[in-house]
Amino acid sequence: MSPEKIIFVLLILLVILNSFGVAESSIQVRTDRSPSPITLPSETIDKTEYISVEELAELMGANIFWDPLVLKVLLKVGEKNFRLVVDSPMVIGNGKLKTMEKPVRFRQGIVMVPVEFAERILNEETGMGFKWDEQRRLLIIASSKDALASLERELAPPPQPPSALPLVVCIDPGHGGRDPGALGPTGLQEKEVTLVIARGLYELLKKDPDIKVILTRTDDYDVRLEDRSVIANKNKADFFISIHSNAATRKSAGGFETFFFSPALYEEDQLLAESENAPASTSSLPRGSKTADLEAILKDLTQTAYIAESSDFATIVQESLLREFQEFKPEDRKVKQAPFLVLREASMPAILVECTFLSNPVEEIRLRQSNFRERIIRTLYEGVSIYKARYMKRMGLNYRQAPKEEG
Amino acid sequence: MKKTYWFILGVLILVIIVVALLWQWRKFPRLKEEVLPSITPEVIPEKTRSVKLYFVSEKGTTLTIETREINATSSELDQAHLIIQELIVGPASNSNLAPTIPPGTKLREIYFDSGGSAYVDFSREIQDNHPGGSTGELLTIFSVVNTLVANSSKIKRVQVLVEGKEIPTLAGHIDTSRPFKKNEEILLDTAAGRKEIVP
Repeated sequence: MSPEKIIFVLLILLVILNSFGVAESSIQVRTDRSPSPITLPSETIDKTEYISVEELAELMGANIFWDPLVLKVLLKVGEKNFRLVVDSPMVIGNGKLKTMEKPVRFRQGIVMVPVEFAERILNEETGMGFKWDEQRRLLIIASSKDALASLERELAPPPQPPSALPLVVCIDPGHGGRDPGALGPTGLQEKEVTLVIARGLYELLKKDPDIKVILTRTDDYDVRLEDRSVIANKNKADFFISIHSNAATRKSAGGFETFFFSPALYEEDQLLAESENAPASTSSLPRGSKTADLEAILKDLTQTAYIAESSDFATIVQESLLREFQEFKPEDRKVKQAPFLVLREASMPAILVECTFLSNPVEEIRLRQSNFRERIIRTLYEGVSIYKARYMKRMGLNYRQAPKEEG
Repeated sequence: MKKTYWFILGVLILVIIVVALLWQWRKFPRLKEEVLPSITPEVIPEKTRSVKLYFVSEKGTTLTIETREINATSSELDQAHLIIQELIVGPASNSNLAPTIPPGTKLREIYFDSGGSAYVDFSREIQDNHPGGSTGELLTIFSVVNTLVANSSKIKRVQVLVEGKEIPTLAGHIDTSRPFKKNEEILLDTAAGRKEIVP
C-alpha cells in the first residue's frame, strides 16, 4: 500500500471511530428527594459520562440560567453560583476556578456536563452530597453530606459476595507466652484473664449455628501481633475481636473501653515533606525509604476499608458493656479509635475490647471472680450477636435459610 | 616430652592474650565521669519560657495540660531536651495530675529530620516499667507527641524510640513504627464522633 492509501484508510477509520465515540445510554440516579430510582439519559463521550445540566439542576432542585449568545450556563445552588461555558473544562464555582478533566459539551441543543462536575465540583463546593458509582452507573444526589452517607449505606452493595457459610468469628486473646501483658497489684496477669474470657466467648459462640469460631491462641504461648490478623485473614473471618484488659499509671482509671482502628495520622504531609528534601537541621536519623512508607500506608489501608463496619461493631459491643455494667460505670464512654498493630492488617470488621483495668486494685479483684468473668463473656456474646444480626440483615443474609444471591 | 610441649604452648598463648588485653587497656583509658564535662543544654541566662506539658488527668484515662516555666535555650533541639526532661520529672507535686513516663526512664537523645519529624529515644525502662494496657500506652505516647508538637513550631510529628531502635509497639498494642501527629482527640471520649445505634 502506498502512503496515501494508508492515510486515507486511517482517516476513514478516524471518522468511524469518532461517530462511535459518542454513545447514547442512560444512568441511574437516586436522590433523597424521591424514593424511587430515576433513569436519566446520558451520553458517553470519549469514555466520559455526560448528563444534561438542565436535568441535573432539576434533580438537585437548583435554578439554572442560560446565555445562548456565549453558550454559558449559570447554575444557582442556594447562594452559590457555578458558571459553565460550552467547550471549556473550566468552571467558576463558588468564586473559585476549578478545572474538570473534560470540557462542557453542547449537543443537539442541550448543554451536557461530565459527571465529574457533580461528583467533584458540586460535591466540594456545595453543602449537597454527590457520588458517582462508575460500575453500577449510579449517581447519588443528596441534600447534605450526611444524607449522602446514609443513602450510600442504604444502596451499598455487600462488600463481600455472601458465599461462605457460616460466618467466621475470630477471637484473639491478648498477649500470652513470654508476654504477660498488664499486671495487677496482686499479680493477676492480663494473658490469663484474656484467655479465660476468650475461651468462654468461644464456647458461647460455638453454639450459634450461624457461626464458626476460631481462636488466635488456645493456650498460654507466644503469638506475634502481626500473625494474629494473619490467622483471621487466612480463616476468612468475618469479624475479629481482640480481648484485653487495660492498665494505666493512675490506679483510679477504670471501666471498659472498646477500640477500633485508625490509620496512623500523618501520611499525606509526611510524603510531601520528604519530597521537599530540605537539609537536615541537626542530627538526622536514617529513615525508611519511601517504599517502606508506602508499604506502611498500604498495610493501613487493609483495615481502613472496614472502618465504618468496625466502628459499628465497636459501638454495639461498648453499648452492651455499658448497659450491663451500669453499677460501676464512672462516666459515659464512647468507643475510641487508635492505630492498633493487631487490627491493622485484619481484612474484616475488627475491634479490641479492654475489659476493665488490671492496674485498678478494685477491678483486679473483680477480674479474679469467675462470676464477673462470666458476665463479661455473656455481654460480649450479646454484643457480637447484635452486631451479627445487623450485619446479616444489611448484607441480605439469612443463613438459617438458603443464602440469598445478589445481582 | 609431649606434655611439656603443650604446657609451654598454653602458657605462651595465655601471655599473648594478657599482653593484648593490657595493650587495649592502655589504648582506651576509662572515662572518668567527674573529669569530663556532661552534655547539658545551652540555656540562655535569665530567660525562661512557658511550656505545655501533657500529663494524666485526675480521671486517669485522659491527658491534661500543665503549664510550666522552664529555661529557654537558643537551639530548638536543646529546648526539646529540656521539655522532655520536664515530662520525665512528672507533674507538679501540688497538682492532681499523674506522670506519663514510667519511673526510671531516661532520655537518651532526640533527633530531628528535615520533614518535621522528631524521634525521641528513651532508655529501656520506658518499656520495662510500663504498666501496659491500651490506655496506658496511648497516654504515654501522646503525652510525648502532644507535648513536643505543642511547644515547637518546627516539630510536626514525633516517634518514640527505645534504646535507639524503632519499636513495633510500646507494650503490645499501638503501632509505634511511624511518627505520630499531635492528637488531642484520641484520649477524649468523643474520639469516634457521632454514631447512631439501631439494634
